[in-house]
Amino acid sequence: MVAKFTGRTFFSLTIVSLLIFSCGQEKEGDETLPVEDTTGMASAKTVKTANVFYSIPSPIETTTLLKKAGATYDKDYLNDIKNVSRYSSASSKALNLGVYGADLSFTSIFEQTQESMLYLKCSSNLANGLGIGDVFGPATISRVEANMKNRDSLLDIISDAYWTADAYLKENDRPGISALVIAGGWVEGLYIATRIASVTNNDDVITRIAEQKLSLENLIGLLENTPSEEAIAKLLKELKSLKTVYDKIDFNHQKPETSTDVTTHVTTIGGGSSISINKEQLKDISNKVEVIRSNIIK
Amino acid sequence: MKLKQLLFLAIFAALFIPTGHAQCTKAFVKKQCMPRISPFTSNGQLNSTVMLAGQTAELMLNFSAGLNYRVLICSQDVLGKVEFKLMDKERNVLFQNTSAKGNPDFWDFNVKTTQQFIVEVSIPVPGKTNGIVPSGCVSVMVGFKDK
Repeated sequence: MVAKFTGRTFFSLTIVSLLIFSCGQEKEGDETLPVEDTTGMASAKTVKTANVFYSIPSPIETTTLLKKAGATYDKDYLNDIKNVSRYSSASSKALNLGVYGADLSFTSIFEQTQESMLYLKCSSNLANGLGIGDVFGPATISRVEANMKNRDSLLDIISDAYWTADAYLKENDRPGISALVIAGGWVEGLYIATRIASVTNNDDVITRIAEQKLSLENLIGLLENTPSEEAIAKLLKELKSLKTVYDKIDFNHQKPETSTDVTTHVTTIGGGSSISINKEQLKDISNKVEVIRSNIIK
Repeated sequence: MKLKQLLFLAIFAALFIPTGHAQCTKAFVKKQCMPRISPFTSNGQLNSTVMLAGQTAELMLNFSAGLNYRVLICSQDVLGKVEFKLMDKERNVLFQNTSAKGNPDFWDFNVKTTQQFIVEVSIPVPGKTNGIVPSGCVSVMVGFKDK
């Protein structure tokens, strides 16, 4: 007797196989990152077309660029450490963990030892509230204290702590909290840049502000691909409003070309984009980001 | 009949259920991938997923003038030599590891102007699969350092 492999049989077998497969997925439990969910992608197991992720420059990267551009330190740019007690909801803790992370990066880049410790403790406080306290726990604080005079090591420790927090959140199926931390850090970095620009009128800093047009696109992509929740929807609305201002900035794209230095073997990608921003656009961006930031830190 | 149906089920499952240790843990990335981003500073974000042979994923990234960057593709051995490309927004290919000497899994570079790029990662399909599709963890790491 030969069994007929009918469409119905195939369908049944497919369903059963998928069920078996799904059980296999669940069996991995805590060992497996819920990465498909964190990016809002369709399941990597079932889709053969491209899955899209978004990555945003870290606050350390942004503040490094600001310092290179000639920015100077002013603690008034930063979120007051006393505000840490205001944040009670998970979403406000997450956003402000990002904000304090950017402030911690700023104090560390400018080697403000005492302030760095204070902002690290704020980060630790909020991380505890989010259930990721170990990341900024005594071990991290000790490492920071031991490396206070070595800026590069200090930045690596901070970067490592924030990476571990991000990985922990994604591993524990909390992509919304992860996205809010990233968004809070980005908003604070842009806010600091606009404050510096308003005080110094530094052209390089203003260019860095204009370049955030590209990061904003990726940040919106990241948030749109994150499971919707109230705080994300609210932030997305504000960021899209900011994007309407950025959309007015001229960004001329040219085909990039690569060249490699024969001595250093370092490849440089030339071409790319030229950008121009006027005073009115800068003012609009500064005003918008100030409102967004005020809503986050209030 | 039931025995035959069970037999079909077993064969079907063996053919179509992907295998390989599709674990994409923080521990794996931290131990296997993170050290290789050094001497660059990580961007602080985990971009990892479990992928199957034949699949493609993309990561949208920005790179700023004034810094050096490393893009590293870190994957489990079961996936074989993972292919990656760096492209601009118009999908002009700037780097492709399969065309580079030694088929490297990372690329160091800098940009003259701040740009938005796409990193496309593709998992090769092995020559002989016997119907078994490998799956494994892929992590795209990005690091930067001051010039």
